[in-house]
Amino acid sequence: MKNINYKLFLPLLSVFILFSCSDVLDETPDNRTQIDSLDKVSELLVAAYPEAIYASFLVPMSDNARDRTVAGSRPTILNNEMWYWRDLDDTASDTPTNYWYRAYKAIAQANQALESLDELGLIDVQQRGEALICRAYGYYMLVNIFAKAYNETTSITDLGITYITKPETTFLPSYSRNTVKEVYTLIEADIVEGLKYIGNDETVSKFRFNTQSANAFASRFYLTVGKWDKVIEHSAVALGTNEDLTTKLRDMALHTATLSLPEQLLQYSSIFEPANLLIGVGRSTYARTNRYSRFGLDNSLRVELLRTSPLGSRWAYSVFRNRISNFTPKFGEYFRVTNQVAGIGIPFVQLPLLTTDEVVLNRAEAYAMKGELQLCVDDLNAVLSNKVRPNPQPVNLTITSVPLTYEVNDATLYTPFYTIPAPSLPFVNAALIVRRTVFYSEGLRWFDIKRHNMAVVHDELSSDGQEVISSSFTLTKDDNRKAIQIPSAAQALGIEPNIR
Amino acid sequence: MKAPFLLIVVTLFFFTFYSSNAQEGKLVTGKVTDEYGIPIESASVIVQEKNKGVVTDLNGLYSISLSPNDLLQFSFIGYKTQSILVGLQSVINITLLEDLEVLDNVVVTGFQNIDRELFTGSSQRLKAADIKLDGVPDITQALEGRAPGVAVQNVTGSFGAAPRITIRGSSSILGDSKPLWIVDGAIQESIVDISFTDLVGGDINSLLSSALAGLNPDDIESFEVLKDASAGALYGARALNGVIVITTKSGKRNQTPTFTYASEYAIRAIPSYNDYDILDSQETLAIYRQMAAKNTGFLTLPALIGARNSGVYGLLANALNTRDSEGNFLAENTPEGRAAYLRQFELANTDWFKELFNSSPTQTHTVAFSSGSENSTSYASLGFYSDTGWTIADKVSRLTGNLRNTFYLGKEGNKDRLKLTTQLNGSIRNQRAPGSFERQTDQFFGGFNREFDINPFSYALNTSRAVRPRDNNGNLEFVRQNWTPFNILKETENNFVDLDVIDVKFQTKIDYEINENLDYAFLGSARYVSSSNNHSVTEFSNAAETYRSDDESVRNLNTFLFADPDDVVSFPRSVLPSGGILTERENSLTTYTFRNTLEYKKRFNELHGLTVYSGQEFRHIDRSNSFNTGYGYQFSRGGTVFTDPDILRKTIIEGNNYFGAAQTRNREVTFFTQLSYDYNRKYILNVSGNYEGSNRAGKSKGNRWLPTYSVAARWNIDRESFMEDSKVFNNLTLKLGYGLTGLIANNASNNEAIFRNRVTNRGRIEDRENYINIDDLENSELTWEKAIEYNVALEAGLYDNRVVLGIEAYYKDGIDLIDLVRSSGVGGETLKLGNNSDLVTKGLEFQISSNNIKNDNFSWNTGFNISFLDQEITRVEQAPNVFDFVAGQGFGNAVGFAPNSLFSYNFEGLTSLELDSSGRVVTPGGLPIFTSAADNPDGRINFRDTDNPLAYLKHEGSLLPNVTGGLSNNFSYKNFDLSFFISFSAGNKVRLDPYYSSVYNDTSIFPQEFVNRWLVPGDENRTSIPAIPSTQTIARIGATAIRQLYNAYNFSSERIADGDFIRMKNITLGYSFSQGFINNIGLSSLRMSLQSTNPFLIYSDKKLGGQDPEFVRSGGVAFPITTLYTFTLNIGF
Repeated sequence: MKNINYKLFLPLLSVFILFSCSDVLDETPDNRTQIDSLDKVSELLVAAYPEAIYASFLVPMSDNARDRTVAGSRPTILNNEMWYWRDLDDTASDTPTNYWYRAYKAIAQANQALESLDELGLIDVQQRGEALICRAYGYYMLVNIFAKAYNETTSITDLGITYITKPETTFLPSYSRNTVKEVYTLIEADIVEGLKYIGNDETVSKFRFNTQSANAFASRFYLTVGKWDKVIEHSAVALGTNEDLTTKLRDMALHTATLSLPEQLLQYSSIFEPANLLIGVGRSTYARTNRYSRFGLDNSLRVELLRTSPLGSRWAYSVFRNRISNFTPKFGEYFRVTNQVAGIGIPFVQLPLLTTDEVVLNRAEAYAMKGELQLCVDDLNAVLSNKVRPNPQPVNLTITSVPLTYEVNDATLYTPFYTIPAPSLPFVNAALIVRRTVFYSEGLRWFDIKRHNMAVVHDELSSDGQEVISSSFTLTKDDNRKAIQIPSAAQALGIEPNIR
Repeated sequence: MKAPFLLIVVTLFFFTFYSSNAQEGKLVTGKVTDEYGIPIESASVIVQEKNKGVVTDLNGLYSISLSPNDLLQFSFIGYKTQSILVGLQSVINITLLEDLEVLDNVVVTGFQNIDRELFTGSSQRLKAADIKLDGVPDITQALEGRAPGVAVQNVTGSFGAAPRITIRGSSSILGDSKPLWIVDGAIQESIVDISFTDLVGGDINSLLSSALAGLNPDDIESFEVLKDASAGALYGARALNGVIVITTKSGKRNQTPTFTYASEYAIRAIPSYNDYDILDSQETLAIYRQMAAKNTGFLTLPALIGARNSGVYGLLANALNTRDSEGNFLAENTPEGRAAYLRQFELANTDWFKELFNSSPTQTHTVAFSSGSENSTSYASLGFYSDTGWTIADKVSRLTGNLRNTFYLGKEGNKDRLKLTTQLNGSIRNQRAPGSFERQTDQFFGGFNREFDINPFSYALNTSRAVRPRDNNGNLEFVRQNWTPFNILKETENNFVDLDVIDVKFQTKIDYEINENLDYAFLGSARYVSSSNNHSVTEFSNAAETYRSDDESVRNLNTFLFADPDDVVSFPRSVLPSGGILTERENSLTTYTFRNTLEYKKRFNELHGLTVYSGQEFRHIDRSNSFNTGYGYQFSRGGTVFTDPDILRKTIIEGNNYFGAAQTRNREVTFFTQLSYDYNRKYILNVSGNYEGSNRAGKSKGNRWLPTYSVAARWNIDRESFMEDSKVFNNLTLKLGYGLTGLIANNASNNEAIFRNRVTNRGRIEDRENYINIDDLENSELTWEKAIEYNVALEAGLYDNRVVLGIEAYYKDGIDLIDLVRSSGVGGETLKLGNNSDLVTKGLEFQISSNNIKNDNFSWNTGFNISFLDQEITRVEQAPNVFDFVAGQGFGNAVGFAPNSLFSYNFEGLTSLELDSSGRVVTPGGLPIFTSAADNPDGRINFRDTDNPLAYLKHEGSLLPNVTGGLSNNFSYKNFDLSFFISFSAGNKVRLDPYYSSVYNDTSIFPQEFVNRWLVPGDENRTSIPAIPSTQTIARIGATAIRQLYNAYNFSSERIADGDFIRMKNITLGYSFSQGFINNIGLSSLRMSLQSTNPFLIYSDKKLGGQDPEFVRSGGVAFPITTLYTFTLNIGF
């Protein structure tokens, strides 16, 4: 019996020791990934760009959307509510709330990448630069959409957005908002730090930041805070040197003349387009709604923005028109099928986030502000040269023609936090007018409106299809509604709402 | 406990054996047999006062010399001891009755066998023989209505699919609500871990959902349902949803080798249209005629040419354009000619059930062998189940084998110190099911759909009776589905799934007695299950031909064609030019369980009983699944593969994968201790603790371990002195329990952030990149789901247990349940899973069983049980959208309601036709109106609305019945026995099948009530059946909006019925041949029985119109539970 006793207890003991050990519980429960190499960090960063479209809600808020009347269009709630500058508490794609979640999601990916780099002990790597720039970009977009415009005096107290730099680790933490000033300071710090590391990694696609696109973003950032030398400095890096500038800009004249509609749609956001520095993809129906939503490109706006160019000839942008559609072919749709029988799936829209055209126009405005008017005019001409049709023969802008054509009669039209010197004003105005057309339906106009503290007037037409103004709505210069309302779920968890 | 009992008997046996030499007085002889007349070998025959006795020989014979005043006692393990006064008899033959009490007196928890008298938890024992449904291969279905507190909903009756079983309500809101299955001590996992939604979804995976599909019901001895925290204490962190412990059969010691053969032949009823409120072909054609009328604008020739689906009008359109051999059109294009052509369909009245269903019987054969010697016992069985198919599209066969040996070693004195049990179970299953693709949820239009669904049951109820399987000449007649000719008879032959499952389990158990008070036990179990299913879509099937329908008229519509994004000016074209599609799926499960336990048991001074039981367990569960879609497999050409590479491009561009594989791994370690103390078997106190760890969060140490505990007490009132003289009560017990149970929330495991690789959503394949997504941010506060339970039970046995009563009440406070909460977003995650919801469950259970009449020839037993349940979510923040609330798939969760509640669009009536002054339509008539949100004045349906949809939805009730129970009656008269069992359930709501649509076609089928639909203005005052919208109406409202509106009607308060039912579950008539006859033909037992399972519903809501209140018709592989007529033959050798 003793024998049996002994034999039995040995396996028993070993089993006890073997399994009471906690190591077995370290087993990964499923096919999740571990971030254990620089490559993996890089893959985290692929998703550090907001997967959302902002044009869908910024365009109807701006002066780039007019009433196409109910009869000729199909109303969508988003387009409607944004046009009337009402708070929309909807989480569907294309909404401000969706952008909020997606931008913070992108920031979380960047924050995780930074944390993983620290854990891996990797300091001087391109990925650190990309992560910092991604984070800066996310916060820049958020603060511009959900807070008041940057203003050196009031931003010290204006409510900005919550700025976090570490991955969240608890279930539902409560957050408070930083001031606008603080947010901008932190963004600038990220940009400065990020640019130190970012390089031109050939393997990085145009969907991610490289030296060029990071500097393009810096150019945009410094334009917003009014640091003109910095705008010029970063623009120069973004554009590169030694080459004819126009070859790097979007050649609309060529595209319109040679490409079919589907090809134009593809080309606009393509990686093959030299003008595109950074391309984004978002879950969106904007490719459709932009065509037929009630508030958008009507005939009067088409004539105003897309007919005669500053160079005298017609703009090269083609406008597709029928009874309910009226659009410039900029957005194609990728439809990811999830249910073939019902014919439903997830629509995506790809659009350029940063372009050489924007960089050149940023720089033009900065030159104007610095009084370097010839350089400003050169930049404007560069952009316009391939955006207009070749006949009648375009006539380039000159230092003398601009003040005549772009004189600003209403002294209160542009009221940024800085003063625009009187001689610069027509040039700034020209740059803004060119931007309005070149970036039509891309949403950038809204940021110009905020930057220059402009008022927006929306005229509602009578519903019978007659173009009669039935009522007029104004978004004043310091209107609180310029800061889109914080999503209700965030408010419910303690984030202070914007003043209404 | 079994062990001490065995011990006592064995002691007795040795004792008698040693003293059997001494004899005195007159010689008495006789034979000891069991109820079936089988001789019992080694039964002891003793005279207790005189300490003497003998044992019976091989033939059950004995002889002993006695004096007339001696009281002779006959006993054998598992049989009731009988005493008889010798008197003047010299031959005493005795029949020992099986002692059911022996088994009934222990509670099998899967860890221990505990003396029922000392068991403090809430449990229910069921003997498999009592509840088994003959001809039903999966025993889980038989639990319906049998145990109070256990709700069984047979949501599907397909082989391998599990019924929905909940014990005392679902304890988790988002998580799993299935009970834990234990077979012979080890957890029995199902191959795939699927949710309720998947279970009722009819997908192939649902056929793997039953953990017990590989178990032959004939091998099962008993069930023990452990219902409260105390009963399931040792399962601690997995017992949240209750535990069902299954014990399989084993041999008995010192038993003559016995062979038994059981065979069952079951015939299934073919469903009949008489049971369904569905229009016949004549009535249906009348509706088609309305649709084809000018002002409605459907079924016109141009529309039919490009139609995705069409039926009789499509055939008409074809006939109008086709000439026969003599040059005449098959149908003349005149009103008379068209009517004449359509008449054949009008008269068709196809009985799809007859076309698609068979009544061929299923067969079950089980051969079992059991034997036992002094040192070992064995049980072996071989079972074969064969079903040639209830429909033309399914069949199953299953082979099960079971081998169990127990060895008793280390004999020391009159005890065995070592008991070794080895078990080997295996099953092989081959199943064919209708070819089916995954069901998809469409939250946009509102509904569910499935590509190419050919489930015969669904087809019969979804297809017009005017459509025919064959034309007048007997050739197959093709309608159009997905722009392609379709015939169900051809399709079922060419589109099918073959499922093979191999399930093997080895188990060893060692019980070793270290000393008188201390026992050690080891359990080791290993199980491997592998399933593979091949979905064959041959080149002749509609599902493959659809990829080739690139006719000019349909090529721009057919989404199965490929529109090359790199060649934007070309027409969509076929990328499956030849061959079919062969999709292979593999699932596997590997589990190991190791357990070591020590039990210390001692009585002090005969008064104080103490048991300390503790141990440790390790579980290892690996699951894997993979699939591979082979396009261009040529079934008729020896399997040669001919693939157009562009079909892969199409698949990839659309964002899908053509192959994939994934694994999950669970590791669980448990330490447990249980302390039981009793004072004179009168007052019992039980304290258990369980400390469980799991790897669900990977390397993260946060909340890896969960301690659970329970405290329970029992008062055996009948042992009190004041009860001793009671003439009424022979048993009276009060039990109180309190405890904490838990559940590892598999759906949330982010104690550390979870990263997963994905591929970006970009239009061009060349632009796509790998990326790592933060699937879940770290939630350092994440913990297990828990419930704090209170249980009180009163049990009474009256008149020598002729009446047994039990009443039980419980209160469960479910806390830290997983919830889905919309976050501030700042952390980067929109919806977060975390412990954020609470659920309160209250319940009452009652049962009674009685021996109404019992005499030599006649006996009558009755059993009745009923349980009530009340559940309410007290905290939850997940915001389900409207579709979740109305679809009845288990996501309707809101504060103040039961989990899994069902809501409806509140139907307010039909619109009345409104015209403006110039006679133009402002509002079309006959459209449904629903209560809508205040900020939605147009009443537009948005199934994805999450903004407080409860403001306008109507609460209907829970999906889970809150009253369940059953009534059983068993009669026996001489050799005949008759029993019937009625199960009932009530308090839940059922969604009626979705028959309504904004657009019908000429294959549509309509319910009876459709004849009352809105036809002319004013009808809105008399009917609630919406009109068939005309093309003008559709254009006015918008195709999308009206489709959503009509789908909303399917999910409205009009389309709801009570789920209450009373079902005659089972009627059995049996005859056992008399012993004399059996012996003459050389058998030891012979019994025949006829059983009818699910013969009819005694009560159900009339609104159901034939729809089964339990079954969820989702197509795919889902078939309802049907009526079975089974003939059973049991033979013993």
